[in-house]
Amino acid sequence: MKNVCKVFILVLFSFSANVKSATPPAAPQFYRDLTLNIRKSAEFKVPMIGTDQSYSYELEFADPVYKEPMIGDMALGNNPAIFYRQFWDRVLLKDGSHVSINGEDIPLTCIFISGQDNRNSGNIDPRFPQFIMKVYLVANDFSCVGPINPGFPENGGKEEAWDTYLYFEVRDPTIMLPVESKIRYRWNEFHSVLVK
Amino acid sequence: MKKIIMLLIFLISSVLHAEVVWYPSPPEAYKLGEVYPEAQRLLFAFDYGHALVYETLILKKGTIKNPKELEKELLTRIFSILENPPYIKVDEGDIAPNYVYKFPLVINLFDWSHMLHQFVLDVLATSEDRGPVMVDRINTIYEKYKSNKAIAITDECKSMLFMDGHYFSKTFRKQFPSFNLLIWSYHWFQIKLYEALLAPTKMERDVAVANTIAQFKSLISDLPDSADFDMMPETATEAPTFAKLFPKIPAAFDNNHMLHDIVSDMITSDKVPVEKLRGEALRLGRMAQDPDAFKVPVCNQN
Amino acid sequence: MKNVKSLVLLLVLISCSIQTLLAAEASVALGKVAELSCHRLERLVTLQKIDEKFLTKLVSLQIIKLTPAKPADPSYKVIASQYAGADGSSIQVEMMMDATGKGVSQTLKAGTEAQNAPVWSDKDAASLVENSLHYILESNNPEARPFASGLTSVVLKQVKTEQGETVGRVEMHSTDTTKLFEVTLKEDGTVESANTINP
Repeated sequence: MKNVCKVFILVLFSFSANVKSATPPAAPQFYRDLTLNIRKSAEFKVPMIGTDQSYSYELEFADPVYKEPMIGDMALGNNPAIFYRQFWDRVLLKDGSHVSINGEDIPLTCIFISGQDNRNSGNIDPRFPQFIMKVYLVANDFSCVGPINPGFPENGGKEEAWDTYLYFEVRDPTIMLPVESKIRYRWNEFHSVLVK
Repeated sequence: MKKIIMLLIFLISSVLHAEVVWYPSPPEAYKLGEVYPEAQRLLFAFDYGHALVYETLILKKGTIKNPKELEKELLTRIFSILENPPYIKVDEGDIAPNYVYKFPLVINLFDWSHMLHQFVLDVLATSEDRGPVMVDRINTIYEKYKSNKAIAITDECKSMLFMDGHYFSKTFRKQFPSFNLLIWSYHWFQIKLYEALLAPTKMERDVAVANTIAQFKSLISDLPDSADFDMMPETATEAPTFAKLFPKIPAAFDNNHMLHDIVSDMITSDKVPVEKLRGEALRLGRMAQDPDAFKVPVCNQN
Repeated sequence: MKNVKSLVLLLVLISCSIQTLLAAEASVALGKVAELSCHRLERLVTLQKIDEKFLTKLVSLQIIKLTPAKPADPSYKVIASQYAGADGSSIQVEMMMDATGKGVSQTLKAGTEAQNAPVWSDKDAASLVENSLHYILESNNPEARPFASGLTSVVLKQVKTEQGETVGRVEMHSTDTTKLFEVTLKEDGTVESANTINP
């Protein structure tokens, strides 16, 4: 019984210690601001043998799906001040937001962000990214549910929800440059490079 | 000990919020098929039929020289499916990839609404309680449906002009009268099932569902004459008990059915060229969600 | 015993009569019957049971409430007329409707081919009439109410406005008022104006 009490008190202290070093109240808005800073238009090129292909997008933000971005902290070790943080956000896009492919304007319906903030990880090696935002500009899904189909396979459908999206990563929140870009177009994926 | 503490720290330190998705499925999901398999299979067949006609008309848009012949061909294909309907729900993207691609908002609206259709039938078919518990359950499902504002069709009553008052309206029923009546018969069947499943005892429900299936088969037995619909069947007219118990759901269903007819007309009409389809589908889809568009002060006026 | 039997028989007869009366009692507003008859007209044309000119050259609907003798008897009659021919007669179709306003049968009445029927560039004549009926049934205009409930006739005319615009003007009569109701529609079917007028 005494041991159980000790464990309980230890856990309580750990929790309260974690709460003290947990996200300051403004933090979710910081990640929301990052989402809203994703560039509103861009053009990419898909280098192909024979002829390059290109696509471009324009978007305008509408209502967020989450009241504030989801944040998950993973502390490894005894020091709660050192942790890896993951964050997720979804924001709907206004009608008119589109990606132009093959002369057709396909509606972009929402933006999904899956990010990792490593600034509290204790790892300051310059080769280790402090920040990664995986950005999905989703086409044709007005409900913005994905990228995985929740409940698959019991609920039926396909494992992945989105047949068309633009993907890129942002590693530097100060300049928000899209890198590692690709396009999934009707389930086919192509790597691309930013043009402008 | 240390490991347990670490694990507990890890678990407690996570701070996560809930997502806005219709997940998980209600426990009653698709249980209609366990009680009334024939009815459920027909519903799967309707999904197939809708998708098939939309896909065919999109692919052949602007090139149909003989609508009568095409209608005959389509009906032959559909009837073979209706005679031996599928056991599983087919993914619409697999049957109609071009339709799904061209009409993303409409697809989302239909999918969300069809899930409501299905889950309401599931509860009605399987609920042991036939009173307030069952009613509450359906209302809970309905609240969940409505809460997804991004893709919920409004439950405000709309005038028939929402379906019939556009520049491209009525084209489908003029060019493909039998297929149009087949679709109206589908809608009649879906609506009538709600009424049948409100019969107080299991025996009565069994009889009512069997009668509904038989009536449906009679309706489509000799199209166009066998289906004597002058206009789209309305939920409150065909399922008055259901409409009284759940006053808002009928309008949501009727608006869904009107949107189906709108899509049929848009795809068929020469006044909507292929390059305009996407934009018009978005516009009309938003109209289906808009509570003020074509709003009528009184539902189902007589 | 004989008296009891007679009483039971009488009670059965009375309840049957009440049911019969209830079954046959018309419960649909006449404006709604007229609107439903427009749908019926379209179906009859689509199924090629009547000529397409009932949609393109429609000039009027006359709505008559009937008193059915038996439950199966129709409760309403709607006469749709094309524009008159050279001798003044019109080709007509008489549509019989049940108590819910559903079409149950129709009879074609011979007449002379329509002459000088106006040509509509967008919606056809029947659609313009139908839209005017939707207006009286669905608008919040209190002036329209007597025409929704007691409608007896609907007449469509083509008119050129002072601005040179071609519009449809639908004139309605009702048993519930001595006034007339006029609905003006653009050729695309949208209602421009609607108000009562003195006869």
